[in-house]
Amino acid sequence: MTNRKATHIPGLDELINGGFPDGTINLITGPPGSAKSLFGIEYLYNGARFDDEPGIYLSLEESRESILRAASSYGLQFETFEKEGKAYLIDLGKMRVECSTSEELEWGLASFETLQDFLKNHLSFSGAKRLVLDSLTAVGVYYKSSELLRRELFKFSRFLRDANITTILISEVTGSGDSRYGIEEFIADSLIKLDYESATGEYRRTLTVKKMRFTKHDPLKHPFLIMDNGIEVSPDEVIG
Amino acid sequence: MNEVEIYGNLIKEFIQKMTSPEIGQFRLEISTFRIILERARVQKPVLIKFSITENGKVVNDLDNDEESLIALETLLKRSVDFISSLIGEELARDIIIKSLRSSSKTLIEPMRGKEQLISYIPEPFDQIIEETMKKQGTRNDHEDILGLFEDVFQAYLKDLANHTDLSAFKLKLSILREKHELLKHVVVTKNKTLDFDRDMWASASDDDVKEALVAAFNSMVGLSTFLVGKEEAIKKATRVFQYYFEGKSQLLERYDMKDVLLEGALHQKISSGLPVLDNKLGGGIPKGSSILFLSPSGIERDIFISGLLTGGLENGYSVLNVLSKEPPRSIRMLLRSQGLDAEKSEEEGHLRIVDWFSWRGERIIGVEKDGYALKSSKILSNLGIAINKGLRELSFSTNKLALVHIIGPAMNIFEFSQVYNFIQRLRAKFKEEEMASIFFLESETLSKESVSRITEVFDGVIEMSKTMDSGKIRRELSILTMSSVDFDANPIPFVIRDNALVPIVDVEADERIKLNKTMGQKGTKTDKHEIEEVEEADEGDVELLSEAIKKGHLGQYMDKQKESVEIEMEKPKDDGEDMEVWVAPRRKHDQKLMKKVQKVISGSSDDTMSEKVFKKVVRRRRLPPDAITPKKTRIVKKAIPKKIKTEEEEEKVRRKKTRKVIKIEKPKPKSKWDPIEEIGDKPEEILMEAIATIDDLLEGSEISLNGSVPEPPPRRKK
Amino acid sequence: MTEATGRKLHLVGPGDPFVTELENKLEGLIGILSRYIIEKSYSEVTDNGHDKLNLDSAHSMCSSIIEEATILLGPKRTEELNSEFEQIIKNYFKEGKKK
Repeated sequence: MTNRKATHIPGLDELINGGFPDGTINLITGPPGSAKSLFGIEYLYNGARFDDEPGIYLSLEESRESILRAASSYGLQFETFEKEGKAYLIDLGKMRVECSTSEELEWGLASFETLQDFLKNHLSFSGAKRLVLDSLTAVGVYYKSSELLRRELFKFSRFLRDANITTILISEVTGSGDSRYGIEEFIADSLIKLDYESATGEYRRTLTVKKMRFTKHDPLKHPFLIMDNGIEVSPDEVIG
Repeated sequence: MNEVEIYGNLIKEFIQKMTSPEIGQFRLEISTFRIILERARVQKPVLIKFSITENGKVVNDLDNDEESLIALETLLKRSVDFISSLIGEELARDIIIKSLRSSSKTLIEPMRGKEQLISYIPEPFDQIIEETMKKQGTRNDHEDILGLFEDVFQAYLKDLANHTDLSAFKLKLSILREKHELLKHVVVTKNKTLDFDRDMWASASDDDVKEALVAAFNSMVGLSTFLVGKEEAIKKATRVFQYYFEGKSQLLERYDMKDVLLEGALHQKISSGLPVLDNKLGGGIPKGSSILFLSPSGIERDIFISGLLTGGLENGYSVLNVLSKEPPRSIRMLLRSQGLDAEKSEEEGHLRIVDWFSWRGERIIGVEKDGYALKSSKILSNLGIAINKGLRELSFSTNKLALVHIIGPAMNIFEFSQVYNFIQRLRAKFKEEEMASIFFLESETLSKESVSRITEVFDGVIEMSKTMDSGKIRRELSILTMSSVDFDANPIPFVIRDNALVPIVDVEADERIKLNKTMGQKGTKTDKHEIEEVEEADEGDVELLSEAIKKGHLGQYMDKQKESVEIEMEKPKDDGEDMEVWVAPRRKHDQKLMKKVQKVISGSSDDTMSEKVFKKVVRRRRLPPDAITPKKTRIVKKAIPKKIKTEEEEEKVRRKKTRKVIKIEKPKPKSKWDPIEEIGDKPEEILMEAIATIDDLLEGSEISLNGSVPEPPPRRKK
Repeated sequence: MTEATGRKLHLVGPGDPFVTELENKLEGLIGILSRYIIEKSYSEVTDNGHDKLNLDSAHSMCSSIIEEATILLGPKRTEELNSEFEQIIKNYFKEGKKK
């Protein structure tokens, strides 16, 4: 039996047989506002909180402040765990903002290889077991051809697997597709799609585990809610 | 030992006891018995072979024949008579029985099977014999139940010993010994089981055996609860118990243990709140089954639901209540009126209310918490989420009950198949939780076809019907189907009395008693007569008055929090010219309120009542006929002038000759209408106006003809 | 270590062992991103008229690095790094004075 990283998101672990298998890469996709970042934050926070596992949240777009604010509005006090060295909320976005575009490109501040290099070193002292990369979309801009992107992403994913870190890659997708570049879903071990839809004049949020390697998972579309303390998936309810 | 010897021993023991100092102030002298014997010898000369020495020794040289037995009977009888003449028959009896009880086993045991001998033993000794023989019979049962409990203890303690050494259990047992003598005759052996001293237990009474066993067992479960949590502990114990007691449940029933062990987990059924219905169901609603309860909406149904809810909570069930026609506070209020603390039940997790009502008036995103209640938005998936959350939040109980009021309203909003699937999912969920569930459906809201299709989903269907039978209302409760239960399909006719559903059989019995009591007194009007009289009512009038009140005549007196007042009205026979309001308050302050209602309506209010009075909800209640205060008050004279009785109206009256209870919802708080001022001296005018309004309202309005008033728009969320 | 990216850093303290030491320290923690930070911090202090690093400018360079690095390292490790830097300054400038 594989060890798993439980998300501790109420209702979700039930759908994925207890959590993400150790060392896997898991893609979370969805349109803007579909609670992808919150998903990532909870995954990381809960790991530190319930399993005492350090984790890294790599934000390439959202500022640290806005993530902290979002987290604390659901009662997740990230800073406590940061002080204990159990959570690292890394704001690469800030650096990128400070640079000019050409500088950024020259430095490759958020290219896969920089990230890989950064993580390799970081892991040596942080001992992180969980990683959230928010978002893949921001890294994608460095690569002119999808061929190059694919190659780099593949390299990166191999590194992550070798590092035995259990990763969530967040990818923004609009429309009906499952991934932005059409390739990330192939390197990922699992794909969870977050979405919202209209039903009898109301919006409801949905979650579908579309793919999950090494796991007997529930592939149905389930509604989920964002409650005071974060995401709550309803494994008992099925849509469609 | 021959029969005469056995008899002789009884007498010997009797004399010994009666002359021993233990007996206290009633102690007799040996010489007294010698004199009695002398006298008896006169009557039965054979007793010459039976003698009592001066120091109390009994010599029995009687032949073993019937004559001797008769002689001994005479002697014993004379002795008893003598004692009775001294201290009275009753006391003598008590003392004799008491003094011989301790030695009854040795005295009586040889008598077993000797019918002839027993027949010569006079009162009150026969009682001792009977007692002892019976105890002898139960000894086998004691053996049986001890044997089973030994097995249960062994299995359970072995498991428990994996978690802890049993010192805590031993300690607990030693504490229990102070209260339960019998537990002194039990030891925890090295093999981690309990060893019962069978002889000591065998002579104990049923109750003592029961209490001692239950106490020991519960303390074991208590220890396990401490170690692994209540849910796990009870589940485990139940499994062990069920394994060993498979097919032996009569034994548990004989000792009346089912209720006190494992919090009732051994019960496979849960109560419907109505004993007569439970009986017809063969004990109650099977756990894990989903029942469709079909009925017209009305007071009968409300009483049934209220009984289920309050009865369930009182029995310690965990109850999930899914509402679609009223806000949670109505339920809380209902429970309060029954003396239950709803908030406490919610806090303790025994009650969860899922509110599928409020979305009609406020914006609810997904599922929201409101105190302990869970508010769901309109869509069924959110309702499902809310119900699941509610289930998760219910505290562990071995008996769980869900009351679900959604089918009718859901059918109005969603496609049949959507509702059907939803109910099916709910049912599966409840089954998984071994929760009994009752889905309520107002029979008038769905087509017959839809009803019959929806019944497929359920394990059983219970119907409550209300029909007109030669001008009288006939109410019946019947089980239509119930899978894998041998149920009694005969309908249960019932009436409503004292805010309860009373089966007619009970009513009749009750009546006979009452009649007997009042025989020779003035009582010509029977209870039944009263009930029948009440059945006559006119729905139109009820709605009319309710509307008048709703419009504000009474509104400002209602408390801001509480929303309803219930009034029972009746239309008398004479032409509909007069109208009577029956008010049936439950408590004194309610009576005051109802007087106020009457005054307001009849236009003679003096408005001196304290508003506090109105904070109490008036519950409709028919007072028992023997109540002291007259409850019938004629309050509106000639309220309905004939002319407004249109044909349509008359038709309505003809069609609906039923007594109705109305619920008057609290009006909008900002009513500027001062009822007193408006009503003035002309209640008729107001009522006429109200009638006109009602006519309008009834045109395609939401007022259902069964007397319920449309739901008020709930307050908007700020 | 730098081979991974193929980029070389020319600006930062050529031949300045103090800067090299800081650089090595930081690179062990965050990889090549350290170069960016070091370069930025170095140019800040030298632009401010300190052509050659002295105790003051070394301090301000270190605090500038710390400020930048904190979002990558988290408060716990940053605190440790800070004292490590203090030690480097102490060692470097003590030795320098001796010389």
